[in-house]
Amino acid sequence: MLLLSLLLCLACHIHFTNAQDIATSLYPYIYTDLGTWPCVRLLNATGSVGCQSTSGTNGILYQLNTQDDIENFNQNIPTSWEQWVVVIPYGLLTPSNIQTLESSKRLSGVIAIINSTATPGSPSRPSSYSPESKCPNCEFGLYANDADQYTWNPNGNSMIYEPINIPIFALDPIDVLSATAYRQIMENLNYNIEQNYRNYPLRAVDFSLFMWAAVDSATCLRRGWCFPVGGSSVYSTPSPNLTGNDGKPIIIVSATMDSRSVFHDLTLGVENDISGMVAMFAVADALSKSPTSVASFPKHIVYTLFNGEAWGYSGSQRFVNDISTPFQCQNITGTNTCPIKGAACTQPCVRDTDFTNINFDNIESVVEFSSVAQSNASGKGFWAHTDDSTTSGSLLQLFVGQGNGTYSIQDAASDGVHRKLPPSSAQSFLKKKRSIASIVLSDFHTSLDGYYHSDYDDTLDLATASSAICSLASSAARSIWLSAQGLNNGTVPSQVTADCNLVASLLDCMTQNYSCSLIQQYYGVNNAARISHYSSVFSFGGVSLLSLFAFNFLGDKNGVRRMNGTSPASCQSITECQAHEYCIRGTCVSTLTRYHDAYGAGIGYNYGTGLFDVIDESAPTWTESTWNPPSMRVYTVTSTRHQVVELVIGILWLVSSIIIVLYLKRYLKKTLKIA
Amino acid sequence: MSLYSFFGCMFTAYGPLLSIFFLYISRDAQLVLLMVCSAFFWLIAILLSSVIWFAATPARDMNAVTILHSVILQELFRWALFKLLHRAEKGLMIVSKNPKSRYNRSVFAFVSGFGFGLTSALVTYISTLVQTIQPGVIMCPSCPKATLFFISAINTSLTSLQHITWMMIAFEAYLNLPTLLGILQGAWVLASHFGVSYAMLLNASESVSLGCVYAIVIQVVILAISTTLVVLNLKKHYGAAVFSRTQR
Repeated sequence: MLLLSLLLCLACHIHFTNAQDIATSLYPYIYTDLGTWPCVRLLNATGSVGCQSTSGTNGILYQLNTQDDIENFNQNIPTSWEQWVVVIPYGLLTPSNIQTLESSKRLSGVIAIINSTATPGSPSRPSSYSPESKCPNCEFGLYANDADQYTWNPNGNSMIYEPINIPIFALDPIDVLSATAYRQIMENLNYNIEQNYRNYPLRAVDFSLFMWAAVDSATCLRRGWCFPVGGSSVYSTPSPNLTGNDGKPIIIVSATMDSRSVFHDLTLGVENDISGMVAMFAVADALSKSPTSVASFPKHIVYTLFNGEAWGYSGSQRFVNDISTPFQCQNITGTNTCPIKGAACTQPCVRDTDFTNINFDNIESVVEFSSVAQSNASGKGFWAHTDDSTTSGSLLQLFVGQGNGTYSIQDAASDGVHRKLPPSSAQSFLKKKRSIASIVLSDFHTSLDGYYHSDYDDTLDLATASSAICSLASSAARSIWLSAQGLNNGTVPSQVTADCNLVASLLDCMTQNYSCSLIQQYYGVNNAARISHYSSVFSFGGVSLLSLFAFNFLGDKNGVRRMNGTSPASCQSITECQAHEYCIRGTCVSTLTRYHDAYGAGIGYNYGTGLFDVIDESAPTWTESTWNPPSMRVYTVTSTRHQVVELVIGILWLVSSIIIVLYLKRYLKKTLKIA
Repeated sequence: MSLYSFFGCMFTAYGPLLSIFFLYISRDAQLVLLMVCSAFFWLIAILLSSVIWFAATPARDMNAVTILHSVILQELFRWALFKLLHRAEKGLMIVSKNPKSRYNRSVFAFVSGFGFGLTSALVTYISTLVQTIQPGVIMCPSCPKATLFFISAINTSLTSLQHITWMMIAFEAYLNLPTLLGILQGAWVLASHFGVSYAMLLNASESVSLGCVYAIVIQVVILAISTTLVVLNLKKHYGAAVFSRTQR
């Protein structure tokens, strides 16, 4: 027996040695690992949305091109026992289609094709595809309790709110890795089509998309298996001496930093968020060129760029809450659970307390840039949406009066229908105080952009978009210039004009090339081409690439350079500047530009446990699950019938060996008296 | 689903070895010892062969060269094993179950061959067998309708049986070495070992259609000839006793 175990041990030794070897030798001949853009699991107070798969799921590649293909999937699949992975155009990714496919019980995964080439737009797309709800974020907005809310997104199919228990991956050849993945999948899919899905061997893929979080946000936060969705908002003002009791009214100029889509790695949002953000940047630039400094105006201008807005106005609601409630720092003794190094206050855990200088009661008006890229170019003009024509009337008139030529600004209620505000950060301000004058500028009139919060919102006509945004930014800058001085009309100096080249550069940097020369002026970036505009998850002190740029750009435009004699004080890093100064574009700048935490207002930090909690289920509580690295690989499979034949041959061979050995033994025993 | 393949391939590759081991060898501790001893000889041969493969960097991808030195080394170690067993024969006889049995020499040859066959089957195929649990397969280049896993299983099974016959023929040959019969039998072992090994190259050939079938046919033919030789040798030694039943 000892010898036998010795032998077995020898065998197992051989086994393990070779198991390691094959990882490097045989594996690449069988499997091709592909780069992935997965749909992932998110949670809120009541449940979960997005995709997950509990174990490695696999299936044979199968193409479905049209709505009819999807409806006939169950009848058309050649065998009723194999599992299939369907490759569909992104535009067919709707909850009802997924349900139809799942009901066949033969679906193991979905691959959605967003684009077939590096240039977005092909294959041809439906004119509208929005995975958002029909009334995006309305439950968290100003009109949440209104009986009949206006449906801003009639084309929305609510795909991003579906809990899906199959893996869904996207194909979009935006870089080398994803282009390889696209090519591999299509080559193997076309092979299966040539074989008519019947002539084995066929090509299959398997996915791994394990999500740790389950149930809801409260549960997964307690277990530590999810993080709040959010990031850092940025606010900035050219008034260095802004204080809460200086009595000056405040004009908020706002835009949204983040966007949302089914596949977070691919979230771009050219219309929804980038265009509005670029418009705000252009306004900040235009006003910084005013001959009389805007800091000396009788009203303060505060630029706010909110993050996490796609997730129930996380950034703006938190900002409004923080500046409208008295700040009380409890410097605790003992265990400190505030992860920020050098925090201005450890409970609440904040980087700085400068936001307390913004007195919410002093806010007089909010000007917000929504989607303004004119990508559908329906009316060639802009629309100004207001909550109430009496409180916002004069502001509205000012903007309408400053609109010019091709890109006029019209009152959205001019057709006699008062739709109130579209989804916007302004709603968060008005929710706290309805008497603030507000205006939301957009290129849509009666319904949101057709690709609202969709992965299809990735096409940019640079010439059209930059001239449209530039025109709007100039009009808005003039209006704000007048408004900040309490004027209703007058001559605005010609310097207060948006720089159309800057707008074009900003659009390019924000969409396709984050390593562009404009951003290189601020800090070094390597190999960051297209970056995701999903806000990602919140961490104390964390700063995303977008927030970083917003901070530097606004700090540069609104800050004051310290002069060393006649030339600006140069610096390489912030350590060479004085306290409260920043090193921006090689010079020491003092500016009231700050980051502000942005995560769902329904989530709070528990200073006792050092974990996040759900504190208000009616407010946004979005969290993202932690996950194992998702994977997708393509390989060859044989039919089940083929495998059964192999098994039968094996069993027959084994059984006949046993019979032969037994027979020979008996034979030898009889004849030789041995064995 | 691929559990089907896993068990199919496992039974195909190791069916004869498993049945021989559990129904015959495992009943006798001395035979197990002998088998392990023989297995280590094969392992040393393949270790040296892999050292050569590792050192000869330019020849790494040339399977024909690897087969050449690998087969030669295996045959050298077969001879070394024979030398060892021959020297220890008296001792082996004493500790064996039937010390006086005149069949012991053939039994030792059989078990030594089994040791070679078992080790080669484990070393060459187990890593491939592990992959059959996973869903993906490699198709056999020369037979695109069959998986390389299954074709390899068949070859593994046949090769392990070849090793048993080769060992029995070789021991017979080495005992008779100065004679023509001994030289011829020894030459057959070497030639058929090369033949089987090079025939296996047909599996990976994309130019020879149905190459894997030819490889299996060659294996079966060689195995049949070798088995005939073994039977003839046995008949020569123990003719009356073994084959008397049919004559009676």
